[in-house]
Formats: sequence, C-alpha cells, structure tokens
Amino acid sequence: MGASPFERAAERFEELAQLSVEERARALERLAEPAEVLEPLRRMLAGAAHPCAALDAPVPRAELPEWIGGFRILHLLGEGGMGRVYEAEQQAPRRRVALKVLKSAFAAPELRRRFETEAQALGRLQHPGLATVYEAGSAEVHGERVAYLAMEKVEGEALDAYLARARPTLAARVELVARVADAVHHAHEKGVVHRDLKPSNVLVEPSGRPRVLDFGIARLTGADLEVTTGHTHAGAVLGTLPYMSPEQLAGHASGVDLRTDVYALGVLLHEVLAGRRPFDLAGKTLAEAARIVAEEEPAPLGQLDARLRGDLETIAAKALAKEREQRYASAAALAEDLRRTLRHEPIVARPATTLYQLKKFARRNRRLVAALGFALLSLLAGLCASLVLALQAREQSALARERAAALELQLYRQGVAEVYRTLAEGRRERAAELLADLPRSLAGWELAHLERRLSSTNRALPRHVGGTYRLRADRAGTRLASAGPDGLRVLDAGTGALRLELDAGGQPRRFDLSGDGRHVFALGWSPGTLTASLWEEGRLVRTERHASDHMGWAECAFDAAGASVYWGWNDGLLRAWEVSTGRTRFTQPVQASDVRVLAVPEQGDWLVTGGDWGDSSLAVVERASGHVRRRLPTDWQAVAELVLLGGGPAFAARSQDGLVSLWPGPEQEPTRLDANEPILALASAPGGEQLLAGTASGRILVVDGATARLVGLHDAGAALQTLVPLPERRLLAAGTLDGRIVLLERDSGQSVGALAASPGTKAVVELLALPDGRLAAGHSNGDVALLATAPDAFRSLVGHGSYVYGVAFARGGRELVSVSWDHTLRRWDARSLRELASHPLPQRATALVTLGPERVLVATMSGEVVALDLADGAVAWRTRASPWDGSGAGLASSPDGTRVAVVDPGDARTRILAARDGTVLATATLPPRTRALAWDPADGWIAAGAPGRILFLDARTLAPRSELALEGTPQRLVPAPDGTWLAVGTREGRIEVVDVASGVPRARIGGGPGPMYALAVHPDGTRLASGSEDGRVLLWETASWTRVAELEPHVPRPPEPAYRYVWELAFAPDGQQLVSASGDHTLRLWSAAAPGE
Amino acid sequence: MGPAPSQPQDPAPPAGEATQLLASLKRGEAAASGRLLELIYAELKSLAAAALRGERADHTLQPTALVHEAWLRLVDQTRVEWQGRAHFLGTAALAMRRVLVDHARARGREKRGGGAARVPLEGERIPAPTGLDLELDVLALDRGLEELARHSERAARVVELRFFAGLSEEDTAEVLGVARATVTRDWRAARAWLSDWLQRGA
Repeated sequence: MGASPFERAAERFEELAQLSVEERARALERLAEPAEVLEPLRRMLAGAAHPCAALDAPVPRAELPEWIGGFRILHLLGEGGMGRVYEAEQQAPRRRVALKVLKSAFAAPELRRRFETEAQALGRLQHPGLATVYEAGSAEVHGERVAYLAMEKVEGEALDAYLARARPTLAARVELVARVADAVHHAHEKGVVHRDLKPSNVLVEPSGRPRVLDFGIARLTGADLEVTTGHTHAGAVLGTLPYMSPEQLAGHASGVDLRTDVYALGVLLHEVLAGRRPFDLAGKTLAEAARIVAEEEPAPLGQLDARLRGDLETIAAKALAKEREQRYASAAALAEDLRRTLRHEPIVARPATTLYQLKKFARRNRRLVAALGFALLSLLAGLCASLVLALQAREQSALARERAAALELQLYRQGVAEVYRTLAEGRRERAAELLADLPRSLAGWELAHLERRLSSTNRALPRHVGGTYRLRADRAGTRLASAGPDGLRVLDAGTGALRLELDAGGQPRRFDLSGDGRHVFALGWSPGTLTASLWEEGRLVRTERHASDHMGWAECAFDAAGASVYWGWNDGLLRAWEVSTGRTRFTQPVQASDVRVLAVPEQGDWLVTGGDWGDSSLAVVERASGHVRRRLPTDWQAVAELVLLGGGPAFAARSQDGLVSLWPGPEQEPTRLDANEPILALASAPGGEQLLAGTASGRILVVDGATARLVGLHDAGAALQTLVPLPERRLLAAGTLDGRIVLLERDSGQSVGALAASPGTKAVVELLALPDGRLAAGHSNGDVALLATAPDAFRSLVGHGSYVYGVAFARGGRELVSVSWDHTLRRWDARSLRELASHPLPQRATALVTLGPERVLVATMSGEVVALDLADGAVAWRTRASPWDGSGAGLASSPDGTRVAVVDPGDARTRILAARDGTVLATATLPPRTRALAWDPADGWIAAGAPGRILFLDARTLAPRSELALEGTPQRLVPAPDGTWLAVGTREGRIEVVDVASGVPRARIGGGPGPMYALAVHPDGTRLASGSEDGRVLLWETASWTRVAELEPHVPRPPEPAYRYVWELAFAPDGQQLVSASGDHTLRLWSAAAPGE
Repeated sequence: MGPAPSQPQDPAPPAGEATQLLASLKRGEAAASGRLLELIYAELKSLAAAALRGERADHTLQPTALVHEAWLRLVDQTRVEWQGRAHFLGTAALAMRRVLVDHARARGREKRGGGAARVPLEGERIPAPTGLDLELDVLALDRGLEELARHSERAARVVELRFFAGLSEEDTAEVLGVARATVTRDWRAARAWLSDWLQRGA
C-alpha cells in the first residue's frame, strides 16, 4: 500500500512521540526521509509540543494521564464503548496490569453503588481461565471522577485470530471451548454472569490456555442493556449481537442469568467447530436479527461439517436452545458433555425430547404443523387433562383447577393462532374445521370474528382429472360451466350442484356458454377428429365432425344476444351457426393459419379473429357475411390472447411472447404497450376505459384504453397467469403461477389478501368473476372452486393520503370517522365501508375523540383543537393548545359526550371544556410531559399519565384525588368499561394494568418493540386490543392478561415512508367491530357481526 | 423513538426519507448521498439554531448531541442496518462542519453591519464542540482542514468525524472502513499538525 507522505510522516510521528522532546529533535536529524515527509512531520512535532487545547475537545485529554490511583499509566491498549484500557504499572505489589477505566460507571449514584458491589464480586473470581481482577476503585483523572478496574494483563491473541493461525485439531477445539466453559462456570459459582461472551473476550495464551476477559463488565457499565434500549454503539453491537441470547435480544434484562452465558458458549462452540456462527445476521436490522434469533433454528452442525454430526451437534443444539429451560443448566454441564465426546462416552444431552423436537419441527414447518397441529395439541391436551385429574385427586383442587384453566387458555390461544395461520394461507375450509374444534368456554370477540370470516360460501367444485381448460358463467351468474380433459359440466353456481354433463365428442378444449346460460357450444378433440356441438338446455341441437391429423388451435364464442355462435380452428375458416336452429350461416376464410383467438363485441356488426404461426395478423370480420373487412397485421409470431375493453369497440391483443397492442376501435391504428417484460395475462377494467396487464414479474400495469398510456402500476408479488376485476368489490383478482389468488384494491393496488382453493393447488389457469362477487377459479391440476372474495369481516380502507392518526365509531356505531395527517376528516359507513364524506381540516390531525354522536374533537399538529359537526364538517368551535410534540393524544371525552378534557402539552395545563361551545369548565396544572388522558366511564375521575406516574383527578373540578407510580412513560390510557382498572400503554412498549381503587398493579404485558401507541377495550371488558410500532394488533384476555390472538398486521406502503405503526384502535359500541388506524395510510376493520346483519 | 409521531414540524420532514436513503446508499445508489447530506444539513441547522437561541436547556452547542439527536429524529432506528449508522454519521460530520462554518460566517457578517458579502478573515469564536469552556475559531479550523486534506484526505476525514460528529475511534474506523490503529495514528498526527497550523498558520 503506497502511503502518502503525510501518512508516512504520521507513522514516524507515532514513533517519535514516544521519545522525550530533546530525543525527538535528535531522532528527526537522523531520519532518512524526503522533504515532503519531513515537512509535515516537523509540523506535527511542533504541534505536539504546543497542542491546541480546543482540538482535544472530543475526547477529554487524549494524552495519557500520568497516574490513575496507584497506577502509573504506560500506554493506551484500547478504547471502546465502555471506556479505555491502559497498560499500567501497579506500585505495590509492583506488576503490569490492564487498567480499565469505565466511563459511565459513575454517571448516576445507583450505578456507583452497583459498581462497588459488583467490583467486590469480581475480586472474588480466581480461576486460571479468567483474567484476575486485582483492584477496583475510583480516582480523579483530569478533574473527573472515574471508576477503574485493575486486572491481570493477559498476553495472548484473540480466540478468532488464534483459530485462524494455529488451526487446532477438532479435539483441541472441543477442549478449548470446554476450558472456556470451566472458567465461565467458576464465575457463575461466585454469582457473576458474564453477559458479553464473544471471541474478542477470550484470549488464548501462547501455551494454548484460553483466558476469559471482562467478566461482569457488561453489567457494571450497563452496556448489556444499551442494545435493547436503543442507546447503542454501532461498533459494539456489531461484535456483540450474534452472541446475544433470545432473552437478551427480547430486552428481558431481568431474565438474564447464567443460562444466557450458556447460550453464548453455544454460539462460541458453533463458531469454533464450524467456522461460522449459527445465524448470519450480517446486513440485518436489529429487529430482524432479534426475530431470527428468537424464531429460527440454526442449521445443525452436522450439515455444515459431517464430522460434527451426532453428539457435538446435539451439544451445540442444547446450548443454543431458545428456551432457557432446554439449555444446559450450567456451563460445567456443557464442559462435561464436551469432554465426554473426547472420551467417546455417551453424552448427557439427548437429541432433544419428542416434545422439544416437535416444537422445533413446528417452527421449521409451520405450514405442515398447522394442518396436523391441532389434532396433536388435542391429544396432548387429553394427556395433560388426565394428569390434571390425577393431580386433583392427590393435591389441592384449586391448584389443579388453575392448571386446567391455564391449559385450556393455552389450547384456545394456540387454536386461534392456527386458525389465523390457516386462513392466511387461504385454506378456509381447514380453518373452519379448526375453528369448530376450539374450546368455547373462553370464546371472545376474536372467535366471533373468525366465525364471521369463515361463514362464507366457499366450495370446491367437481375436480377435472388432468387439468382445467376453461370456466364460463352466464350473465346472471347462476350457471357455471367448466371443462377439462374428462368432460364438460354445467353446474349451479350457487350450490355447486351438477346440472349437466355434456359429451363433446372428445376433450372439450374450447367451449362457450351463451349469456342466458341456455346454450353451450363446444369443440371436442379426439385424435383425428374435431367435433363441434351445440346444445340447448342440455339437448343437442347440432353436431358436426371434422377430420384432421392435428388439433391445432380452435376458438368459439356466442354473440351477446345469443343469436349466433362463431367458431374456427386449424383450417383458418370462420363458421357462424344460428343458435336457435343450428343452421350454418356462413363459412369463410379469415386466417391463413389456425383461428387461434376470437372475440365478438357486444355492439356492432363486426368481430375480431387472430391467427397462429404463419399468419399472426388479426382480422376484423363482418358478422353478417364473414367477409374480412380489415386486416390488422402484427410483427408477432402468433396471437395468443384477445380482450375486448368493456365489450368493445376497443380491444387488445397479446402475442405468444408477451407483447401487447391496443386498438381503440376496428378502424383505428394500434398502440404498442411498453412493459419491459413479457405480459402473461390481459383483462379489461370494468367500464372498459382501462386495460389491465399482468406481467411475468407479478406487476399489474393499468393502461389507459384510449392512449395506451400507463396510468397505474400494482404489484401482485408472483408471476401472473390470469387477471380479473371484481367490479362490485373494487378489487382485482390475480391468479398466480404458484396457485394463489391475490386480491388487490383496484385503486391503490394494495394487497388485501390471498385465496387458495386447497393445499397443493397448482397454477391458476382460469379465473372468473361472478356477479355476486365470488370468484370461480380453475387450476392447472384440475381443481375448481368457488371462492368468496367479500372481505367484509376484514377490510382495509384506503382513503387517506397520509398517516391516519385518529379513528372512532360515531353516530351510534353506524359510521366511522377518521382523521389524518393529510388534512382531512373522513366518514365511512361502518357496514358497507363506503366513504360517505371527506371534510378538509385546517391542520394535520393528530388525535380524535367523539363528543356525543354528532360531533368530534380533533387535535392538530399546530396545537389548535377543533370541534366539528359530522353532518357538514363545519367547525363548531376551536381552541388553542401548544403544538403537538409527537407524543400521546391528550384528549378524552366524558361518557355522555358533553365535556372534553384537553391537555396542553406546552404548559401541561388540563382544561375541561363544554362540548357544546368549548367553554372552559375547569383547569388544573399537571406534571410536565403529561400527555395521555382517560375518562372514567362512571364519570368520577380523569386519569392523566405523566412520566413515571398516573394522576387521578376529579372529573368535574380537576382537583387531584390520588396518584400512583408507574414504570415508564404513558402513551395511551384506557379504562375498563366498569372503571375498575386502567390499562396504560407506555412508550417503552408495555401495557401496565392498574387497579383503580387500590392503585395496585394487576398485570404487565407486552414488551413489543417501540411504543405501545394504541389500546382499546371491548365493551364487555373481556378483551383488550393493543396496537404498536410494528403494525401488529394483538388481543388480550383480561382475566389472565394472556394474549389470545394476533390480527393481520398493518404493512407499510412503499414507496411512501415505510411506516406501519398502529396509532389508534376502537371497538364499535356494540362490540362487533374493531378498527385500527395506522401510519400505513389505512384503516383496518375487523368484524364479528353475523353475515347479512 | 416513534416514527412520524415524533416529527411534528410542518411541512412534515420526510421522516422515513433518511431511512430509505440509507437503504439506497447500501444498494450503491450514489444520488442518495447528496440528498442525505441535504436532509441532515437542514435538520442539524434547525437543531443548532434552536440551541444557539437558547431554546435548549443546556444553552450550548454540542455537535455530538446534535448529531445524535438528528440520528434519532431522521432515522427509523428499527429499520436501519448496522452499517446504516456509519453512513449516517459520516454524512452528518460533513453536514455539521458546514452548519458550524455557515453559522460562524453569518455571525461574522452580522457584526460587520449586515449584508456584507465578504467572508470574514477571522471567524466567530464559538464554544468548542463538546460544550467545554474552550473556544475555537471554526473558520480557521475549516481552512486548516482543507489544507490538511491536501496532504491526507483520510486524516482530514478522521478529524471531521471525531471533531464535528464526536465519533469514537471505533466508529470513525467503521465509517472510513479502515483499521482502528490507522484512525488512532491519523488522529494524533492530524491533531498535532492542526495545532501547529492553527497557531502558526500556513
């Protein structure tokens, strides 16, 4: 590497800086360096002699202190997040030590106390595998009090460097880790947990003996907490995170014990044996890393290196178990098992218990277990139940009942989770079965919601052996016809019952159903013969056979009136039959090759055909005579698809290789669509103004039918085979090559869910929208299904242009009101989900409460608080508070809606205002940073949340009533419907539940990443819904405060800032619906109302 | 730190933008770099202005604290890869340097009766970055760094990162992608060199 003269000078400077000033001058003389090196070097030396103090600012004094306590400082060994390490000389006894100066140890008095007690514990550690702590104390350095630890100076190289250089044998590596574990065990016996075991904290001496450094330092400095509290040091995390246990990453600082070190030893073992860590966390966000470590199973060691199969693999897996209970109970047990492998003795660790393996299996194969799981769980439940019974006989029945209840709750939770999972996979029938098996005693809102969702009329139709050719429905959607190699069927679209089976004289490759559903025309192929047949209500009207050595392509179509049917095949002739009589109206040549595609517009006197290889032109043909009116040449090889836009006259054609052209009418010139990738599916948007084109990469292009300009672009996420709009639902259904049907919002393109007929289903080849909103889907494996698309029980409402910061039910629950950062207030019909009105707001909205059925109060970013009437959006009154600071809502209204409490974040004043006109009724001053308010349902008190406490005030006078301490900063308060408890969502991501009368905490739940923004209590008080930073909506059972369900999370909407946080939640007054408002610009509505209600 | 909820200014700062820019940088989209600088500069400038107007409790200008605050305000912590912080800090140091220099120049103009376009030869003395009771001529330091960069771009960057963004040696090494020892050496040498340059001039 060619160092620049300055860099060369810097190296020289480093050497010379060790010398005294006089020596420096002499050494400079002797240097054989060119002038361009000497010049900056002289400057450096001069500067070092008279340093500019201001430049030292970033690090208080870079020069070494001469003394720290009784230690003479020799030089700096290193510097890290926790402080500096000097090599120093102790005076008595005289020895070299590593002196660790801890920056933050004295930042707070409690840290100082902690330092003192912990340092004593460290002093008791005496083990050949540990660096001994000689002394701990504090000293004045440059006028600042610092804590220091004097430790044995270990000569050696870091573990990773040692492994790379010395390349020890497998046995030596196993022994090495066992010795590290010995040392760790010694510390554990003295009550010290390392918390930060990693290769850089293990030095290997020249003798090969490993020494563990920095025991307990993480706790001394609080560094182990920094990662999970966000005050993290990027460099430090980089090195530490891969060794952190799931419980550390989950932020359970109190849950850290010696088994946390056992986990880190497991990571170390894995790395030392296999040369890599169990998880590749490079390039992952902290949240992702935490999820991976918590959920994923590392690849078994044996898969990385066959020599590690068996015992070593088992040992590492046990040390790395997610649940602490499954790990080795001590580091000594781990060391012992490692040594057993060296002695070829049987190890103690078992290749996990059946249950444990099942759990691991479940984690790896969620999909599979979802199918088996519940039966299995039921079995286990049976087993446990009998154990409980036995227990009941022998022990106190109360305990047994408690356990039985816990078990039942557990079963219920798992069952609900499985139903959701199965539903998410589109397996509605399986989900319905699982739902039916759920224990009812704990049933709550979520169960009603799931029943509502699964009560739809999905049904599987008779399967076609060998695949699905085509699906057609009549205009009314009462009859559905399906064809496959095994025949042609007409079904009742409502019930799925078979009405007719028709013999098409071979495989019914092409067919059409007349608009009134009374007639069917089919082209059947058996080798050597094509049979054309026309039926009326199942009665054969006409049949005709043609001989050919190959089938080629064929197509047929009724006209809109059902008066004629047109068909053509490999002879290029177009035939028209009169439907009523079966008489041939004409036979005319239209293509020089096969008639591959054919479309008959609803209006007009023409139709379009398209040819195959050899004649890739389209022909505009007179419907009366069959004469070609106009030929539309293409430069394609074959025309594969033809779509009329809204029934014509505009049409689009797609070539075999995915090119698309669009004709505004039969007389006009085409425009070519520019998609940059093959288009696999075409569809007309309802109304015909737009063409939809699905691409190989899963994009859906929305193209203006007149200009062929791209007006929208959606992403369905998988290669599209079929595409169909669902006009009634304002949705698009896209059938993918992997067998799913993705539903997207027509306007926004946002995915609202995926359907799949049954497991193992293959590519969706046919997709048909029925007028009742259902979809008929045909798959390449022959599955045919009728699927409900009405997501009435779960809808995402996209109506806001930005973050939605408030939502409430209004007008007796008939309507929803939402406010957003986009300066609007919108009203929605709570049943049909239609948008009823959009009213402008003077400012970006930050919170919303209802004041009776007809009025709302909106807090805005500028601090203005505005009361609006829902009827017309008119401002009834307004008042000022100080600008929003991004924290809690600071609004609450009285149960009768006549009064509202507003907290002014500026001066922490709270006022009660009359809902009628905003008159101030009472005022109180609260602690600084009071943000969240809640109003007693019985109108007795108002709760106000300030950092570290909750104040209860009189709801009339605002006079203080009581106060209780609370850990964390309240973000959202919600009272129980009977006012007995108060749930507090904190910025720390927890939910603290307190008993209002006694102030005693009832529960602490949650622990999600980021603040707990939203809380809502079901009107019957049995469920609490929570919404957090990560977009998740959880339901908690309020007797045991156990989580019972997780609803579909909000997802960020690219390319907008990728927020998904749930800012507000609300249950409808009748408790049937739950709505969430999110930073992803949407509202989500989950309903438990009975269908048709 | 919440996402949009903690960004109440109007017009709303593109709260997620910095996060996304960092992702773009990771993908090698160079254009993102300029936009990121712009974003951070604007944020630091408003934070610094608030600090100097005495709106902040501590009444001092602490670049380290400002950069950290900007990091918390502009970047969604949970969605940034670890390396993202290095990108951010690297850019923030540059932005902070500009903010301080611009501020010093503006103060110089004010003193000269406003409107004077001439860049003052001697800059305003403002409290040194750590808020310690030391003063430093920011404009002189800026020129010194320019001069230093002619000798060693890397050493100048080390000073910029350590001095203006308050990065530790470890973080500096990570941002620059060099060994920690290199940073230590560069920092010592550059500081000595600058000490002399500031006292004796070119």
